[in-house]
Amino acid sequence: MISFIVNDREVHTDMAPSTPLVDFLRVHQRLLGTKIGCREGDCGACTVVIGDFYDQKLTYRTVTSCLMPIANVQGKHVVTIEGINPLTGLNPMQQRFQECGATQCGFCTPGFLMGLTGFILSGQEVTEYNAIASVDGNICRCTGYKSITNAITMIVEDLQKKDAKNPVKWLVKEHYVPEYFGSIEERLKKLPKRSESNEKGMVVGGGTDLYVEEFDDVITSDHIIPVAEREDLRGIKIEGNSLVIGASTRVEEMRHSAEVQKVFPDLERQTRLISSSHIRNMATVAGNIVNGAPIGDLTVTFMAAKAKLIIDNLGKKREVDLKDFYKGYKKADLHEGDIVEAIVVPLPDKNTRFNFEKVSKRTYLDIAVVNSALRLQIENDVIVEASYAVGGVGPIVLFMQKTCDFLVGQKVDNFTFKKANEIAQSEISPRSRAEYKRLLVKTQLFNHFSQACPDALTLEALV
Amino acid sequence: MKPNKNTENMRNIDSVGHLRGESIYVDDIPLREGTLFGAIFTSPKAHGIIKNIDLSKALECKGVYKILTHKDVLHRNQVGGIVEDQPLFAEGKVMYMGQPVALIIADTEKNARLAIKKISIEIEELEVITDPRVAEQRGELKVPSRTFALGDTEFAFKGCEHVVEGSGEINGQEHLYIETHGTYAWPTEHGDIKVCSSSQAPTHVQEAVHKVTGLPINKIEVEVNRLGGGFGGKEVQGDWFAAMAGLAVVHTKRPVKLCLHRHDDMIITGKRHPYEFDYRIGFDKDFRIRSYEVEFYQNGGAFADISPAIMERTLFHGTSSYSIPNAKITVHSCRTNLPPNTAFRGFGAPQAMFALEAALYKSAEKHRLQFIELQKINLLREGDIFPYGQVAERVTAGQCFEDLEKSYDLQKMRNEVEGFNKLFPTVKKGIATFPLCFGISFTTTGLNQGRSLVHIYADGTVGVSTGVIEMGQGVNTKIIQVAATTFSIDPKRVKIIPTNTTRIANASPTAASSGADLNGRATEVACLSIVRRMKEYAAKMLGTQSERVLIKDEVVYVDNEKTDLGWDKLVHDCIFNRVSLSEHGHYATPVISFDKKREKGHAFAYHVYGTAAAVVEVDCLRGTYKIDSVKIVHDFGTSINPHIDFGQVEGALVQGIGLVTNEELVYDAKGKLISNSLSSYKVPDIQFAPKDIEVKALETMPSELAIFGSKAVGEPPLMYGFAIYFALQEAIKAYNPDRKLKLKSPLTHKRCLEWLYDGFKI
Repeated sequence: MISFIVNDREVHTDMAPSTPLVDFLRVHQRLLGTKIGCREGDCGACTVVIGDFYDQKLTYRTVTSCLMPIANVQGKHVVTIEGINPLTGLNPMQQRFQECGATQCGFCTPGFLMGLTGFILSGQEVTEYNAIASVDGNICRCTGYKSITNAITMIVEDLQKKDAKNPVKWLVKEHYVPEYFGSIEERLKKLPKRSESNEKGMVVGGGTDLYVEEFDDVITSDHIIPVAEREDLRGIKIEGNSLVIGASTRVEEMRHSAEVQKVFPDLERQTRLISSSHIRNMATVAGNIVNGAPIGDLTVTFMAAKAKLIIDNLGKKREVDLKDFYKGYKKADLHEGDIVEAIVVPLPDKNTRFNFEKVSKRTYLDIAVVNSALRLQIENDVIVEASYAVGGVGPIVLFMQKTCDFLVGQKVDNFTFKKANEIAQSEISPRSRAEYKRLLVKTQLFNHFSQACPDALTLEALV
Repeated sequence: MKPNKNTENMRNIDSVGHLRGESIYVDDIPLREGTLFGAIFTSPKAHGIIKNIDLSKALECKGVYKILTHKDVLHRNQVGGIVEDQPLFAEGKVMYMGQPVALIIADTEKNARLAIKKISIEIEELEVITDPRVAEQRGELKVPSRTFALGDTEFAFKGCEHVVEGSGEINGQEHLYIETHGTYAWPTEHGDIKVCSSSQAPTHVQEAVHKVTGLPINKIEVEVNRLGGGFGGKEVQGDWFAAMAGLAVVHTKRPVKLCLHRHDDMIITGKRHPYEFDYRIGFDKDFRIRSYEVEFYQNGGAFADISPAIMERTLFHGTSSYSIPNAKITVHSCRTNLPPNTAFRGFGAPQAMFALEAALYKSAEKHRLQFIELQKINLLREGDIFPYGQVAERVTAGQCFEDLEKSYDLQKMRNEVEGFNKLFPTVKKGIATFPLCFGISFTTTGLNQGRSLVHIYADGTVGVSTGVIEMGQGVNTKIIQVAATTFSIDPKRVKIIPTNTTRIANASPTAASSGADLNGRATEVACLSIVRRMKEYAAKMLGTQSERVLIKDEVVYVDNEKTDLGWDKLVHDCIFNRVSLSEHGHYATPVISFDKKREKGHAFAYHVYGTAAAVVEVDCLRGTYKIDSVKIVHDFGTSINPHIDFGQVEGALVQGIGLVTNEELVYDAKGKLISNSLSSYKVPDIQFAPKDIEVKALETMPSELAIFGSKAVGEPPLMYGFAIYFALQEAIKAYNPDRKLKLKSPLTHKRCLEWLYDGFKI
C-alpha cells in the first residue's frame, strides 16, 4: 500500500509501485490538467510539484510525473494544476499569464504553471534567472516564449514582497496557493508508512533514464526497489580530504549544496547544462553514473575529478575507481545485490584547475554530443598531475590515460596543447559524426587549457 | 467594418480554461463504459513485399480483443487525398518504416501496446530511396513536374553582367504539436458513429471514415473541440487515426480510443518537406536581378498526401519578395521511402524563399557586396508581375524595409556588429535581414469558402459554430469579435460552439492562414442577415423604416436617437413574433481564380509583407550560438486583435528559428528515423528563444478581403527565421572568411563548428 496526498486529498493505493505517476493522476484520479506530451521528461507537459521532508523540513520541488514511479511519492504531497486553482477565476500567476498572452493552444500551460509553482514554494531566491530556470524543462511550441518570459518578469516583480521566512503562509495569504497548503506538513506526518516487507525487482533510482529507455519493462515489473527513497543514502558532507556525495542525492540538491559550491564553485553553472530542473530534481547522482551512458555528464565530471564509488552488497563494502568502473557499453562493474552508496571525490586545492565542457545540439535540456572534463594540478607553471575524461567518443566514457601521461611535466602552452590534442585524437574512436566529434575534442581541450591558464594559449594553436 | 473597441483587447477566450488545466482535448474526454484502446503495429522496414504477418501470438495476449489489418477494411483500404495512393493498412507491400500495418484493440492501452511486440512480419526488402534526386532520376514522381515561367530567362541571361549559380538544401521539420494525434470514437444509434478527433479538417476525417467503413457520410458525426497545436501536421494525417478508430468501432460496436505515444506519432506521420535545389541568377551591372531559374527536388516521402499542393505553393513563392522580370521555377515532387511529408506552416513557401535568399547570399559573397544592400535594391515594387501572372498591388515590401531601417536604426546595429567583431577574436556577431511577401488564399481556389451557423437564444446570448478549428491561434476569439461587433453587443454574450460536421458541413481545413478570413466573413454574413431581420421587426414595432434603425451597444436607435428598445427585449419579441434569429452564413472569397493549364491567374486575395533583422552571436570555440535580437516590421493591415496577432508573429518566428538552427531530422540510409523522440529532436526551449523580439505593426491600407481589414497572420512570420540563418552565416564568415560557403539548412551546432574550422586541420 502506498499512501500520499494528492492536492487536498489523501490517497492510498495498491497499484503496482512502478506505475508512472502521470497515469495514476490522469486515469485513476481524473486530474486531467496534467498532460502527456512525450513520456520521456523532455517536454514538461506533465510537470507536477512534490512536497516532502528533506532535512526535516517540508520542501517543494518540481518533477515530470511521466518518469516518476508512484513508489517514489510515498508519504509526499503531490500538487497538480487542480491543486493550485482558486475556486473560481485565476490566481495571481495565472492572471499574469493571461495578461501577457502566455497561453495559445494551452497544452503546455499547466506544466509551465507547475514549474513556477514549484519555484515559488521552493524557497529559492526570487530572481528572473531562477524563475526561468524553473521552467527550463518545459517546451512550448506556440508562443515562442516571449509572452511567457514577459509573464515571468511580472511574476518575479510581484513576488519581491514574498516573506522568505514563511513562504507558504505568504503565498496562501496572497492566493498563490489555496489555504489547505497550511495544514499539509501536519497531515504528511500522520500518513501511514509504506508496508513493504521484501523489496525486490528492478532497482530504480530517480527513474529518469529507466522510464525512458526501458519503459515497457519497468511498467510490467510489479515490484521495484526504489533506492531514491533511501534517506540514508542522501546528502553531502566533507570528510577529511574528500567530498562524499550520497548515492541518492538528487542532482539538483548537489548543484545547490553549500559544500559543493565551496569546493567546486563552477559546478552550479555546469550542471545547469544537464537536462532540466525537473529532471535534476528526480535524478540521483549515482543513477547518472551506474546507468553507464557513454555521454553521462556526471560520469565525465567525476571521472576527471578522480572520484571513487563505495559499493555495498548486503553489508560487504568495496571501493572502485570510477575510471575503472565501466566494462563496456552500458555495462558497469556491478553484481547481483550491489548498491552504490556514495561517490567520494578528493577535494581540490589551490593548485587544482578543473573545467567541464559540453556541446549538444541544443545548449540546454539536451544530451551531449561530446562532453569532457580536465583536472590539472599545476605547480610553478608545470603540470604535476592530470586527469582527463571524454564522453561521446566511444562505447564508454573514456579516461584519457595516454594524454594524461604526456601532460605530466609539461607547461600549458601552444606546443603542449597541440601535442596533447594529437595524443587525445589517437585515444578516441568516435563512430558517428566522427569529424565533428574530433573537432569538439580539440576545441574543448583548448577551452580546458584556456580556463586553467588564461592567456597561456593563442588562437594559432587551433589552426 | 472595424472591430468594436471593447473587443480589440480581448484575451484568448480559452485562456482561463487553459490556465486552470480545464480545457478539454481528445485525450481528456470522459471515458465511456466498455471503451477499448488501440495501438498501431507499423512496418519495421522502409520498402518491401509483405510475405507474411503472424498475429497469433498477439491475439493470445492479455486483454487483446481484436486486431485489424487491411483484410478488415469494410469498404476501401484508402486514405489518399489528391492522389489515391495510400492504403490505411499496408497491403502487399510497405513503403516506409513506420507505415501502419495493423491496429491492436485491447481492454487497456498498456495491453494493446504490449501486444505490438508479439506480432511478427516477414518482409522481402526492396531498394530504399531516401534521396529526392535519385527518386527523380528513377521517375519516381508523385505527380508530373510543374513549371511557372515569366518572361524569357534564357534570353535575359545573355544580357546579364553577372551570373551566379549553385545549389543548396533546406531541411524538413517535425511539427511537434505538444498534443499528439488522437481520436476517440463510439457507436451511436442506427449504426451511426461519433468521432472526436484532433484534426484540422473534420470534413476530411468524415470522408476518410466513410471511405474505409462504407458508412454514408451523414451517419458519421465528427467533432473537434480544440487541438493542442496543429501547425499543418493535423491537416490531413489525422484522417488515418480517425479512420482506424472508426473502423474499429464498426467492428467492435464499442467505444475505441486511439491516442498516439510520441514515438509512434513521430515515426508514423510526415513532416515538412525537405527540398534540394539548383539555381542560376543573373544581374545587370547595378546588381538588379534580371533573370532567375530554380529547380526544386521536393522530398515527398512515400505517398502523395498533399505534396502536390505544397509543390504548388513553392511555385507561387518562387520569386519571394523580389522584383524579377524573368523567372522560371520548376518543382519535382519526388517519391521516397520516408514518412509521407505533409503540410507545415508555410506550406512549400519557406523552401522557395530560402532558395532565392541562398542565391542572393552567394551572389553577395562572390561579388563582395553587402547582402542587406543586395536584398534592398531588388525588393518587389508596385505593379510588378508575379510569375503566375497576378499583378502585385498595395505592395509594402519597400515600406516595411525602410520602416525597419528607421525604427530600429539598422545602420547603427550593423556598425555595432562590425565594431564588436574587431574587438573579439573568438566570439563573432552577425546581422542579416529578411524581406517577406506571402500570398493569402488556398491556391486550390475551391477551398476558399467558409460557413458559420449563428443562433441568438431567448436570453439574448449568442452561439456561433463555424468550420474553423481552434488550435491556439486565437481564431475563436476573433470570431467572437466579429459576432459581437456585427451585432454590437458585449462579447461576453457570444459563445463558440465546438466545430461539428452536423452543424457545418463540407468545411475546408483550417489551413493556409485563412481560418479567420473565411469563417469570420461567413460569421459576419450570418450575423448581418439576422441583424437585417431584427431591424425590420424593430422598424415595424417602432413605426419606421428599417434603414433608419440601428442597433448599437445593445440598444435600438432610430435616426441615431436612442429608443427604449434594448437587445434583450428585441430578441424576446423577435422570437415571440416568429422572426428567425438563426442563420447559416456562407462566404466565398471573390476575385480569385487560377487556370492550371496556363499556370496563370489571380491566385491570392492579398499578400502579407514584412521585414526582419536579426543579430546573432557565435561562440567560435564551441560552435554554439545565441540570438541577441530580432527586430520586425510587419504589415498586419489593421489588426483585429493585436494581442493575438503579435503572439502569432513571435510563435511563428521561433518555429522558423528552430527550422534553420536546432531542428534536424535524421534518417539513416535504411529509411529509419533516428531523431524519433524529444530527446533526439530538439525544438527551441525558453533559454534559446530570443529574449529581445520587437515587433512593430506597419499601418497600411487594409485589404477589404481580410476580415475587418486584419491580414492573415498564421504562417508568414515563420519565414523571418531566415534572418537568423543568414546572420549566422555572416558571423561564421567573420571568423573564417576563407571557408567554402555552403547553403544548407539547418545550421546546427555541428555545421557551425565545421564551417568555422573549414579548411583547418584537426
